[in-house]
Amino acid sequence: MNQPQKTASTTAKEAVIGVFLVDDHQLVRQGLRTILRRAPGIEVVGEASSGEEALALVKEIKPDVILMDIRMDGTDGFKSLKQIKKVCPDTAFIMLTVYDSELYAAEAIRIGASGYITKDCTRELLINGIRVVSQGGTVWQEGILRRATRGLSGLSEEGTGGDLTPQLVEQLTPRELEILALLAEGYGNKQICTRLNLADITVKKYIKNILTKLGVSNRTHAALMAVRLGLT
Amino acid sequence: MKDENKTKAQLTVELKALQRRVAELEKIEIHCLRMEERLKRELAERKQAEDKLKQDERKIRELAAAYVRAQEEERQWIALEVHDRLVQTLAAAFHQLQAFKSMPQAEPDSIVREVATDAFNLVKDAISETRNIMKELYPETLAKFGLHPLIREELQHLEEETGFAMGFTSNCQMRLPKDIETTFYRIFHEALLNVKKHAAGASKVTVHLNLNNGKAELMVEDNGPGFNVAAVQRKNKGPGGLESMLRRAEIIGGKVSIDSQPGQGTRVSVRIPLLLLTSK
Repeated sequence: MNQPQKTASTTAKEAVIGVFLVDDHQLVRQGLRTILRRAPGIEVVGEASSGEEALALVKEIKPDVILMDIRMDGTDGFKSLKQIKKVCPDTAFIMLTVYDSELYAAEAIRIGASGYITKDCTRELLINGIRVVSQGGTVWQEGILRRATRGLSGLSEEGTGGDLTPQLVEQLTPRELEILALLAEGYGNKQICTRLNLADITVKKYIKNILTKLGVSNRTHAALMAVRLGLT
Repeated sequence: MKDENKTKAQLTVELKALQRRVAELEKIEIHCLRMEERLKRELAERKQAEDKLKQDERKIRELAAAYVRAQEEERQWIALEVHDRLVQTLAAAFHQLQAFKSMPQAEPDSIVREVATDAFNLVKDAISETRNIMKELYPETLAKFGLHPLIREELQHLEEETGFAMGFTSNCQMRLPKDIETTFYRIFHEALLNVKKHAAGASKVTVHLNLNNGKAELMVEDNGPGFNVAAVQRKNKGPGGLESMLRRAEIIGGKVSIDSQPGQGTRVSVRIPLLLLTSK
């Protein structure tokens, strides 16, 4: 499943691999710099403490490899990856995180990261990992690829046919559930306003959100959905 | 004669008037009796309502107190875990590293390596324990991925650890509201811990997660030896234990039950209505 990636500096194997660090902890970035400083053929070309900052900087710098933290203050590493990939399609991404989570690893696979490494990895794994992904390979912390991709024995697939993960991933807030229940009972907007003591604009806004989250285009469908989902 | 008749006629009229009056008074009396009865009934009802209100207030106060107590117990647990699992390990690593300070220049390589390796392993352990504690405190991935993937993941881990067969069924087509998700996760997690503790001899664990008629339902069952529910609940301490997880579900309007008999397996089930979460 390796997809060969063209790096900006593929002219010769001696070309230096430009690495960009994205992590909201300065100490972590410092530590990474220290580890990578003495790695031949690797150079840290920039760093950022948030997804936004990274997005702005990498447009200019165009690194070969980006080490991306998953959970940063105000930034979702996965979202950042998707955004940065659009402007730097040839860059390889390694998720570098404290979390030893197969769910995160599965997400990393899904969105096209080249690897998933935990922060307590050895420097050899990190350095070789950078080299491997810059050549189009992938690197995974021990065991996590297997855990991220295995199935469950004896899994009964009732109801959702196949993958048990529900199709509707957006949660309805308690208020939205309340309004949806009233909708399903046939309440009109005015009645909902009276019943819940809300302004007309507010109710309209809630209903719009509900329709979006349920993926339907009108109230009747929403009401039907509510019954089908077992919400009422 | 005329006067007598007249008087007789008058008397008859007056008699009739009096009779009418009596009839009216009787009606009024009946009316008053009925009113009295109604008032008595209303008073009784009102007293009942007052009593119920007092009971509810008491229950709320008890729940609030239990909640505060539970919080304190959690904090105690965290402090203890950090002490037992983290600080000790880090302190040991610290001592190892201190050795370097006083090491003579000519210390043989092998000793240096040994000290370094010991310190390295201790810190690695500490990191691992930190992760475990973090996960116990808050399942980071729940908010992002929802219940289904997490349930699967933990069942798979349990399967690897114990060899039990795992099953998971769900008719849930959407993610449940945050409060229910969190409560269900905690109960599921505790129930699995209990399976590990009490279910030697079990071979199968099944989890059901369903949404029907506005109620979200979670069931965790195993075919283990069962246990004496009352006895275990009395002993249970720690950050939650199944007992306080279940209490939590009740606070948000859920109904809970643990069914277990020695020899008949165990089933933990929780049912929470979606709409009680909203405030008026």
